[in-house]
Amino acid sequence: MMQLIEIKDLHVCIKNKAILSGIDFVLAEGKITSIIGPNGSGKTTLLKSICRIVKPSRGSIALKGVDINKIKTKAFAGDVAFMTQHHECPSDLTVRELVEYGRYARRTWWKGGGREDQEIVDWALAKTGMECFAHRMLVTLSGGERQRAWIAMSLAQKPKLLILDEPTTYLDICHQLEILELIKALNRDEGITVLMVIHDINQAVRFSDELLIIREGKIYASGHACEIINEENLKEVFRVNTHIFYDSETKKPFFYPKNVFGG
Amino acid sequence: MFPTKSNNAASMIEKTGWKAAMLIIFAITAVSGFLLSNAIGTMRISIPDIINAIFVQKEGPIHQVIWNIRLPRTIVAVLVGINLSLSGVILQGVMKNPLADPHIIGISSGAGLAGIIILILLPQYAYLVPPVAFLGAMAAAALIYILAWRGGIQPIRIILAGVAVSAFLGAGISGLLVFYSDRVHGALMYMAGGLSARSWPHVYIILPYTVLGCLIAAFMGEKLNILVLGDDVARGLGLNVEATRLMLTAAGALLAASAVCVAGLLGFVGLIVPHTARLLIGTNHKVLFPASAILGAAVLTLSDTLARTAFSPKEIPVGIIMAVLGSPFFLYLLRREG
Repeated sequence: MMQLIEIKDLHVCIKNKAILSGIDFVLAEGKITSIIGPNGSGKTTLLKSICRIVKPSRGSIALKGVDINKIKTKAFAGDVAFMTQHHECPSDLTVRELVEYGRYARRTWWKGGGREDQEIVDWALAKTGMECFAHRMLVTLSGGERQRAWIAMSLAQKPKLLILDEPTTYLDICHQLEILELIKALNRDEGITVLMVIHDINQAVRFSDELLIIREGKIYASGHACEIINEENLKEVFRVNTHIFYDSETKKPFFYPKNVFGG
Repeated sequence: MFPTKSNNAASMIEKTGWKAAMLIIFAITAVSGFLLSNAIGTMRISIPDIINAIFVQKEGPIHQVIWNIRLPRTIVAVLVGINLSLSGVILQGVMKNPLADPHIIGISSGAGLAGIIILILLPQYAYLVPPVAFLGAMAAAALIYILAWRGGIQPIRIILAGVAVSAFLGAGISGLLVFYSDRVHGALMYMAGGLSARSWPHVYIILPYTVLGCLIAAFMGEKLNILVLGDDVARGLGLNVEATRLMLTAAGALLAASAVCVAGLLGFVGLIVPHTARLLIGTNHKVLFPASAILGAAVLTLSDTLARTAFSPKEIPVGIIMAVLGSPFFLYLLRREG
C-alpha cells in the first residue's frame, strides 16, 4: 500500500492557541478515511493543513514523499481537491460553469479549455448525476444537488486525493446517503483516495475503510472501526454513554446513544 | 419537476443571445457617445465631417475644433470611463463587497487631499495637480493595504481600514476648504470632477493605465471568477490567492488613480457602471470586464456631452450630470431585478 500523505509531528497554532499538537499519521492510497471527533477538536484544521490553507508551526506533511510546501500551487491542485464545508457563489453561476473552474489548474491562458477539458467536465457531471442540471443556476438547486455540483467541480480536477469537510451536514438522511454512496462509488470505480470529516459516527463507520479519532488536537485512536469504535472510546472522546451493536451484514459496529456521560 | 434537457438548452441559448444583444447595445451606445461628443457644441459638425477631420483633412476650422478640442476631450472621457469602470469591477470582485469602489481603497480621499493642497495652498503650481493627485491616491491605497495587512489580507479589514483612512483624509480636505473659504472655487470643481479643457497631454497621462486595464480584463477574468468563490475554494483549485488579490488590488488602485488625476473625483462611474453591467449581463468577469469598460466609456462620453452643452455656455461638472441621471436609472434596474 502506497503512502499518499505522510504527516510527521504536526503542530498548528492559531492566534497562540494550539489547535493541533504532535499529529503523526499516514494516509494510505486507495482508501476512504474518515476523521471523527468532538466540535473544536481540530478536525477541519487538520484537513486545511493538508490542503496548505493553514500553515503548520512545526512538523511536516508530505504528498507522495514530497514536502507539500515545495509543490507548485497548480500542480498541487492537480493531485488534491478540497471541498469546503461552506460555499459561496455568484447568483447566476451555472453548474457547468462551476465544474469548468475545476479545470483551472490544468489550463494555461494561451491554451484555453480544449476538447479534453470539455470531456472531463462532461465526465464529472455524469459521475455525479448532474448532467441534466448542467445549465441550471446553482442557487436554484436543492442542498443535495448543490453538494453534488461542488463534488463534480472537485472531480474535474482529476485528483488522486479528495478531501471533504462535512459533506453531509445540513442534508436530510436520503441526501446524506446519496452523497456518501457517491463518494464510495468514486473511491471504488475511479480509485480516488478519500479523506473526510464527518459528524455522524455510524455513517463514518459504514462508509469508511479507516477511522481517525481526534480529541483536543491529538490523535486519540486510528484504525479499522472494529478496533476503535467501542463504548469506552466513545465515552472518553465524546462524553456519551452508548450501546454498541454489530451489523450482521457488514460486521461493522454501530451504536445507539443512551445519555451524556457524567452529565 | 426538473426541466428537461431541451428546456435547458433553450434557456442557455436565450441567455447567451441576451448577453450578446446587451454587449452590442453597449457598444452602439459607446460609439454614439463618441460621435455625439465630437458633433455637438457651439459649432455643429456632421459625422462625415468628423471622420474627415480626424483622418483626412489636416487644416481648416473643423479640423481645429475636432483635433485640438473635441477629439482629445472625448478620448479622455472614453479612457476615464474605462479605467473607473474596470477599477470598480476589480474592487467589487476582490473585496466581495457590492459597495466597494475606488473610494474604499482611499483613491478619492488621497487624490482629493493631495490635489486640494496644491489648488488651495500652492495655486501657482496647479499644473502639478495630476501627478500629485496620482501620488496621493497611491499613497492612501498603500497605507490602507499596509494597515489592513496581518499575515495576509482580509477584504473586510481593507474596507474598514479604508473607511477610517478616508475619514481621516476627508477631515483634512474639509479643514482646508473651511480655512481658505475664499479660494474654494477651483477646489470644488476638482472635487465634483469634470473634463473641462482636457486635451492631448491628459490622454497621454491616462492611456498607459487603460492599456494595463485592458490586459487585466483580457487575462484575469477567470482568476477573479475563482477568487469570488472564496479563499479556501480558490486555493483548492490552484489559484495563488494572495498574489492574485495583491495584483488585482494594485491594478484597481492604479486604474482609479490615473482616472482621478485627470478628471477629478468622479465618484459615480466606478460604483454604478459595474453594477448596471452586472444586472444586465451577469457576474461572469470574462464578459463583465469588457461590458463594463464599454458601458463606462458610453456613460462618460454621453454625460460629458450633456455637461458641456445643456447649459451652454456654462459647463456643469460631468460628475453632477452622471449622478443626477444615472442614480434614478440604476434604482430602476434594481427595482426591476427584485
